[in-house]
Amino acid sequence: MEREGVKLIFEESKNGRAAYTLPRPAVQHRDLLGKYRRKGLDLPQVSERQIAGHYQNLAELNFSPYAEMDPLGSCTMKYNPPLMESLAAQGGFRDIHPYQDESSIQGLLEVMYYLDLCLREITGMAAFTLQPSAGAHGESTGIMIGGAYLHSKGEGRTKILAPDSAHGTNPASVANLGFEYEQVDSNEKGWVDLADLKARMTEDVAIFMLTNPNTYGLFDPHIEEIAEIIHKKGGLLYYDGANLNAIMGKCRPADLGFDIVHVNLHKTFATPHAMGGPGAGPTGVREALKDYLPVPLVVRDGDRYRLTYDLANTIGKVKAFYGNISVLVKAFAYILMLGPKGLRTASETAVLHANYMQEVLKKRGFKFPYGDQHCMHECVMKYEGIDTLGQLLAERFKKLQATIHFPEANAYMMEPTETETKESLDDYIEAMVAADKAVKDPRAMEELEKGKIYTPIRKVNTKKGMSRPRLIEPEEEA
Amino acid sequence: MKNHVPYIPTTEADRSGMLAEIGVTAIDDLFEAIPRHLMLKGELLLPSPAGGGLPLSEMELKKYLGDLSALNPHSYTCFLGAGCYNHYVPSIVDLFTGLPQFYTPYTPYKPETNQGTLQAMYEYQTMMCRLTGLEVSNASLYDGATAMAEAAKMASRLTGRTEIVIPGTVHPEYRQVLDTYLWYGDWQVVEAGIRDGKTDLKELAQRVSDRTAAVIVQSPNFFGILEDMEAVSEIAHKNEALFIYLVVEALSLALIRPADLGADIVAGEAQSFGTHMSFGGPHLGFINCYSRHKSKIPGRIVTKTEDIEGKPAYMLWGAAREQHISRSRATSNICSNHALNALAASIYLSWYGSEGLQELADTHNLQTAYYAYEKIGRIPGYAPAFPGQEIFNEFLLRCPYEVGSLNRRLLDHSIIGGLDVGRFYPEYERTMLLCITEKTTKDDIDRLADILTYLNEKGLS
Repeated sequence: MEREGVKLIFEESKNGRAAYTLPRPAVQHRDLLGKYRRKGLDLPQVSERQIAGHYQNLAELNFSPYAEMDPLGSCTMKYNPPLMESLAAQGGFRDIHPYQDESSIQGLLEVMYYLDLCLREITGMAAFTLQPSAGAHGESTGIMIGGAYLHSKGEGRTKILAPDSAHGTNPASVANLGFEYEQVDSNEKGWVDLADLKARMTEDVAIFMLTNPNTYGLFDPHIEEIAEIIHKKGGLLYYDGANLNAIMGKCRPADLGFDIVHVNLHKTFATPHAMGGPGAGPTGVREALKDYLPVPLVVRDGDRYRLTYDLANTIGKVKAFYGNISVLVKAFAYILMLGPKGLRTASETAVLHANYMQEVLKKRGFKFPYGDQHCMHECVMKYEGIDTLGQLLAERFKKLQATIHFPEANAYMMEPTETETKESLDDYIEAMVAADKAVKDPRAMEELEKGKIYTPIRKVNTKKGMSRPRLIEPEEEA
Repeated sequence: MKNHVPYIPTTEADRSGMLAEIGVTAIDDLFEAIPRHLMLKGELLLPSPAGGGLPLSEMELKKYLGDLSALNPHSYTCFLGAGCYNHYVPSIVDLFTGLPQFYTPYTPYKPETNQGTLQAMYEYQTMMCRLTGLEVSNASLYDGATAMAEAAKMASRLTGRTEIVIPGTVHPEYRQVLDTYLWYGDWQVVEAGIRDGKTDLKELAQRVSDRTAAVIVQSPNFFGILEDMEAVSEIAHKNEALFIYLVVEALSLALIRPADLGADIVAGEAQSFGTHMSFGGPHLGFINCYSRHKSKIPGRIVTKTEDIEGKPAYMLWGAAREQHISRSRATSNICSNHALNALAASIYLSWYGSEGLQELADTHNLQTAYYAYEKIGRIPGYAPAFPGQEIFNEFLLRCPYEVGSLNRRLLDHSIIGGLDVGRFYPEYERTMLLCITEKTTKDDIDRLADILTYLNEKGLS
């Protein structure tokens, strides 16, 4: 694709063009809606051929994770099998209504029932809600469950803790529900600072939210002590499942002492990220909290499945209807496809790949502040000038940039996942080495700048974009 | 399958080579940070619902999930609506939402490699604003119910007030979600009643005060009736509260423009625009607002700008509102959203265009719904529950029988009847919410009328 850009669909529009077809009118037309009826409506008027051209051209402006390895840390950009798309798109899952009679949705209820069982086994939890639409939505749900549980015991706990390395969604979920957020320090090893945790863990604290392995890609070895500190004060331990891809079949959040967990089906269970979503964030709890889950849940009576609303302390509903069904179907299919051994191999390979990248990059001169430890499924490099490096990787080497400036400034967090070949890891490493050389050596940079540009645009003028937003295309004057 | 695990390319030789490079001998050396006694002994005990054990091959998986899909009838005539609408999805929508360049990438944090996503979202925002008449649209939320709850919090932030006034004519599941979302914090939900299937405006006016952050009213409301939104707007604005105009059936926007009726914020569900029903999700939540309120809107927003060479370019705007930058001060915790459904909406709206969307909404929903309203309403024992009210494509129908039993009889005729509204409103027992779309044609309505008449003669049992 040449760097010309694609016209806006509105610029393709002409009076008299249209793509739609509709049946002939079958009922008598009456004058309805008099006083409410709007005057104009300005949507694109284009042929179907133009729509096809437009979206094809837009698609080609994106770097696709099918074409390139996407090492975006904490996002688990593993391969999304097309098989799962076709399974989820079957009429019996896609074209059914949420209020259909239970007798007419037995096949789908079976999927939901067994997915719940699978997630229980993988995490060790007692029950799941499949309602949350995303990881952050799972966090809100989990906090509400935990909060309601403590509340019902007469405990008005107001605070929720998470480490400074937590995903931004953790503090945002806490604050948006009206709880007070307090940050816990990490120590020089990248683990939770136990002394700081102890000091902050008072009887005002409802929940401690932890990602383990954390966003440094490190498994916190003091997880039992952490759980003890929290439980001793009557609090709950929340597992942010964003990094579950590191530990499937190796250990289970419940066995580590966690009480509530959300899993990101769009990370660990290979459903696509879809430019931002839809994903799904099923949320699981221990036995004592089961009664607080959102309604309904799927249960089985003999050989029939049904939805039950019979939960005495339910927090209610966190979305309309039952969950992001197509995402659930895909994740379920993926679990059955891999099976127990396959899931474990996936985690082991994800961890192997991340350690391999960390090790080779270390040997090639890159700095890993926590590189004296083995990482889990992702590794965090520190690099002065990371913006330039990331831009070069994209613009000059056709590579997708990893997560930058997180969990701290100048960080480059890489999660290669288990589905990339060793060759693509090596290829990415070589690109990093070459880009690094250009960052440090003006002559190498000059040489590189003579070469091909792979991005459809140059670096975006973010300052201008932020200060002078243009958020919609103005309508043409009639 | 012998040794390989599907989708994992790492061979034994790769594995030992990489372990050697790392300087360890076994994979478990990499897991040394996990206390040994906490590690799982043996394999996960996953259920094997297809019988015969796991893993399943592609063929076995297709068979099993194909069989399960076949258990759910999906080509019946469907008269259900109530927040999930059975509209036709043009083929081109599925083709392009199915392109890997759209369905596999992450959120477009790095603009240079995601221009396709960003431009598509900018176009989506523009189309939504042209429909509502407002100035800013986010690039999707999870669904209408969560969008409404987010809009309530947004209004609270904008006004510094904590009460949300909402009538019983709003979708019951949406109100449940609002209650759940606002359960803990310093917010109060104040309910207003129903009169003749519409918001009781007198009661609404009494409930709204200088503590009110927002008045939320849905139109067409849960019973399919158009609310008097101008009157609602006046009540809200007299008290300097914001008016959140809730749209659950987005197709109504083809004929009604919320900006004309005083909306400050339009929140809702746009599943009708090219997203399959999918048993209720994933759908497409949205919030539109005026530019003066944009710093408090939740969710991603794309701005048009330029690159360093001055060429047009698109990027995410206002990251300071978002969780990954502002953490506990963010306007929402939303991260993953429903961008693919927003793409579906843009393709859908481009396919119909201005004229097509209005023809679809008017001729094939509104007009046909009135046809059904009169035809079914004339059958002995049946009658519109709220005669004389203006509707869009749904109406509440009084029935001579308990609705569940009636619907089970209709299923025998390959018809999925309307919603049993008594499940949410005990006072409306024996009423059915009937929804008419372009997929329930005049012939389908005539057939339903014939069967209801036949059941009158024959009885239900």
